[in-house]
Amino acid sequence: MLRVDELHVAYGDTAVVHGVSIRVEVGAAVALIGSNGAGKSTLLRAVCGLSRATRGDVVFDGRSIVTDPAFRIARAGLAYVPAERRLFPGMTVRDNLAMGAYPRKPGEGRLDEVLTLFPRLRERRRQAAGTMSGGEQQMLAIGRALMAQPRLLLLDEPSTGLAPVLVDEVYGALRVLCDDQDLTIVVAEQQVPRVLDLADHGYVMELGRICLQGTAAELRDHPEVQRAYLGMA
Amino acid sequence: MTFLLDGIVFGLQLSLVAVGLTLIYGLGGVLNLAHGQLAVVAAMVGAVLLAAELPMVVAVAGALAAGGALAWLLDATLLRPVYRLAGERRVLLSLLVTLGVAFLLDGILITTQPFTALTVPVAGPAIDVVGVSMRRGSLIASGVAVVALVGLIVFLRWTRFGRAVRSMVQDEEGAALCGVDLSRTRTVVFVLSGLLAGLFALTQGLISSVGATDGLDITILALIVTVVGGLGRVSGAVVAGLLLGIVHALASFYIGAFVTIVILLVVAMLTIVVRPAGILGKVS
Repeated sequence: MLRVDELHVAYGDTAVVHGVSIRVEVGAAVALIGSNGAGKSTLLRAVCGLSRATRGDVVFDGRSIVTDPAFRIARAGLAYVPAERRLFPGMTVRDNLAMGAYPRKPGEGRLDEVLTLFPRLRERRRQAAGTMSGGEQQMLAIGRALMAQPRLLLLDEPSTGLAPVLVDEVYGALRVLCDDQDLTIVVAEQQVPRVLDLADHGYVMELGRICLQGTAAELRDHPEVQRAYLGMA
Repeated sequence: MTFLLDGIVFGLQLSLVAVGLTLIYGLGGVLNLAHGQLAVVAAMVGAVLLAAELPMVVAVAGALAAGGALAWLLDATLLRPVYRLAGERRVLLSLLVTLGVAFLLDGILITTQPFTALTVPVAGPAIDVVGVSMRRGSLIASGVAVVALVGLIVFLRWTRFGRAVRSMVQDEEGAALCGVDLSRTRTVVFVLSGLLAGLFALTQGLISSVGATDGLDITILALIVTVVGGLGRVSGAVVAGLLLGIVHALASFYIGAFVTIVILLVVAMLTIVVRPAGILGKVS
């Protein structure tokens, strides 16, 4: 479904991603693990068109999207939920969700599905997005991305800044999306145990390169992952 | 009562010229210092068409088209490099670019049309409004302004494209992630602001006249209203326009016309100090 080939991304003169290749199969849940500054966000931003790659290719559904602007990639069915969420703080929850379906009319059925997945949003439909808690905003950001009925969902650090109970709620929703709705998901995350529970496959990124990859079970048992990310000696 | 009505008539004009400016600032981070010149170019086209004894409809269409087309041209050419920058640098470059455009247009207008002014004649006697005798031109101008402003607010609030415009004002990147074509949306709104500037020129022509050298004054008034209403807030600009219109009418009667612009500037300064997000904004 998604193939990233030897992708290089630079901010100004500094290269941040050096020749990364990943593959995401239809229906898979893929973890992208790495510490702060490993280049995960930069990689995801380049995939969804918010940053330009200097070299390499991104192929989505058999078509190269590496030079497409972000809005076209979004319309093609690739949704991205950035770590900063990028909500519209002065607009209501409902308007934020409606924007997710742009340029199409937001379908009532889809809206209902999203509100069923995140019941907290239903209660707050008329509230301004900026007045909600971090957890609710994260749910809204995911809900907004789902409104377009994407085929591939990229998430950057969905657990950052959330209380553990809300992290459970967010990951519970992602689990439902993977298992029941067959959505393909890529999650960049520092909370490694969580994301490896969700994912069936994963990549470990360090200093802008993929240094390790394998199934979730393989990564969980890998001594390097245990040492660096799971806090085991 | 007379002050109030005069203030509302002038205030609606202020609102009309300010909404275009505030919209493109909110949307593109571009403070268009040539906004007044857009109105003046539209006025000159209208005046020339009227002087050629063409029907009123043609003159109106010509003036609006001139405002819209000039805005489109600006957006498609000189502002392209501006949009590539972000944040403060974008605002700064937009100031320099549009200031250059303003001077250029002023130069062209003053050398080619030094004595042209747009006045839109309306026949018929004055009309009595709650005991005050109002000129027909002023009433028609106000009616047109109300329709345009209400239409704009309805468009922004209740259409899908309007919602996309609002979302872009709030978060450009978020809007792009939702599938909003930023560049196309900006172009549409820029053309809309040009049309509104043209409409302002026509309604101002109904009330008094628009001359070749009026660009800077119009821009300054629009800027003051935009600041008082809160940058990027259309409803704020409408309320601020009405408020400043009434202040203007009172000040010119009680103190004198020479000092009104200073008083309006003082209102804008106070707004920045007391309510930096504009009169409708939240106190921070």
